[in-house]
Amino acid sequence: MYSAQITRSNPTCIVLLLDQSGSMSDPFSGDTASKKSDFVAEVVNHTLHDLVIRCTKTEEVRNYYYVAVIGYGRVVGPAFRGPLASRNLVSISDVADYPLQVKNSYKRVADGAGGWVEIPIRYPVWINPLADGKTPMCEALTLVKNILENWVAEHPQGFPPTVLHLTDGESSDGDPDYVGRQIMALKTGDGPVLLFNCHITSLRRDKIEYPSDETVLSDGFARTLFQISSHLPENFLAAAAQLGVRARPGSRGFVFNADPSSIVQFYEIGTSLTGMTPYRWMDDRTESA
Amino acid sequence: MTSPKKSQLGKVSLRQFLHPKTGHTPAECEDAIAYNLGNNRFAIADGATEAFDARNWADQLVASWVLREDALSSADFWDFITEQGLILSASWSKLRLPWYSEEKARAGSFAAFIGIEIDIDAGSWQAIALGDSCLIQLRNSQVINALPIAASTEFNSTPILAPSNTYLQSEAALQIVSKTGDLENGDKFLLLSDAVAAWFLRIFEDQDLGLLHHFASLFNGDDEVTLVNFFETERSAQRLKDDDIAVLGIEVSRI
Repeated sequence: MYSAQITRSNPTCIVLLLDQSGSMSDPFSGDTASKKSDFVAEVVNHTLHDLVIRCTKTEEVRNYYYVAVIGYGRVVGPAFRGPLASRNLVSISDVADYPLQVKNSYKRVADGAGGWVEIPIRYPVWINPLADGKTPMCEALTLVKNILENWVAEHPQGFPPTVLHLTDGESSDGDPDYVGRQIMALKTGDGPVLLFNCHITSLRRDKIEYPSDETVLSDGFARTLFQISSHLPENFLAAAAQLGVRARPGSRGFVFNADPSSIVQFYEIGTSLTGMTPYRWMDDRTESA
Repeated sequence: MTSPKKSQLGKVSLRQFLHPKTGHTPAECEDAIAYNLGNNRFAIADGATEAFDARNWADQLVASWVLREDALSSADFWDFITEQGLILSASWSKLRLPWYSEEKARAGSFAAFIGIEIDIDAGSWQAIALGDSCLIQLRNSQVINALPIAASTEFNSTPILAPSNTYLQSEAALQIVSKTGDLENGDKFLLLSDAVAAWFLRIFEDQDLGLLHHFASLFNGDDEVTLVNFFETERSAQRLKDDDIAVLGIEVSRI
């Protein structure tokens, strides 16, 4: 399982499912300046950037991936803005070619003589921060299920789809357990769909990363998310190890009370797929222009 | 894939074979072969799949190196790479690139390289390598030299490669391997890109002589389709990593 080669003729699907409810406008604990929604949008934009770069061959972007970015809050649907708005599932080459905008920034690189220089770079943006409305998690998961039912029917031998779900609160439209299990029951010949969950909080709480045992979770909602989180396959465990994250066979793709660094790692590990070296973007940018 | 060719000039016989990864076209093969029978220089390069313009970088390195008379010491070879990298990046400056290509180009391109110069009259050879493309010298059907990697278990997925932007990758200079050796009548040399080099060394280590003889007869024969099928079978059996294949065979006859 989870060993199918990802090619243009046998691509895989990645779903980034984002809580965009009103509470996402709250800051992280101890950081009054940074809203959760701002940080999450930045991480998602960098994740999309990373996926594009992985698929870039000189002047061509090869369609190894199809990507959905689904938001839920006041509305449930695609979170892409700009030319891709309203599209559920987008080829990675279209992601590359149709960002909302391309911003200018700087990257610090070695100058070859023991020092560093800053060089100008361009970085694209596909989604804007959004925080509005309630938390219709079940409706959002149902939309993801519908997208993936079609995908696995059309790609029966492909590397299974990966869903990276990020939320800061409990569902406002029911228990997500049932639809979560429905998603995890979808499969290709290479294994079941992978559903990973990351819960973030504004409260000062101890984070729990990639547990293998739900008894460490005292919160009922945390246990619900644990139960609809897939086990981390071997390739993802290897990516976690490269990032220095403690995860072991049996660990679920689940983080509770995640802080900003945990969120970044969640996306890096969750998009490592076939054991690719995680793209460490956090140190890249030094200044926005 | 190119057809295995047999060319003969003086005392050197050559055969070559290029084959892309499964599902890729020959135009997408990022391995490159070049030789110059005027100075008996032979080289292969393996462009890094993840890198920008890797096929052109591999092509340029081998095509330029075999025309040179220098670039055989580590220092000279590094200067050669630096010079070639500037030529390559200058070719990019004329391009109007989308943001993602610009990002890739900024890191430069990368390729594994190995080249050998054979002095038949002196009975010697000199080789220079950076990365995991390999030279294997065979004498009486035994491996008597293998460089820069000598065992199948020593290959990994993150070799240090020849960078087009040497200013950003100066530590790669420390990984250049140069070596000299002697030459006897009937010696054979194989220049191999990494996947097929690992495969060849492993079957030699396992003393799978049947497989070796089968490969040798196909490589020296004229049936290109059967040779392709042979490698496809090895890939399917997961004995050979699914990667581009470059093999340049050189047989020396000293009179």
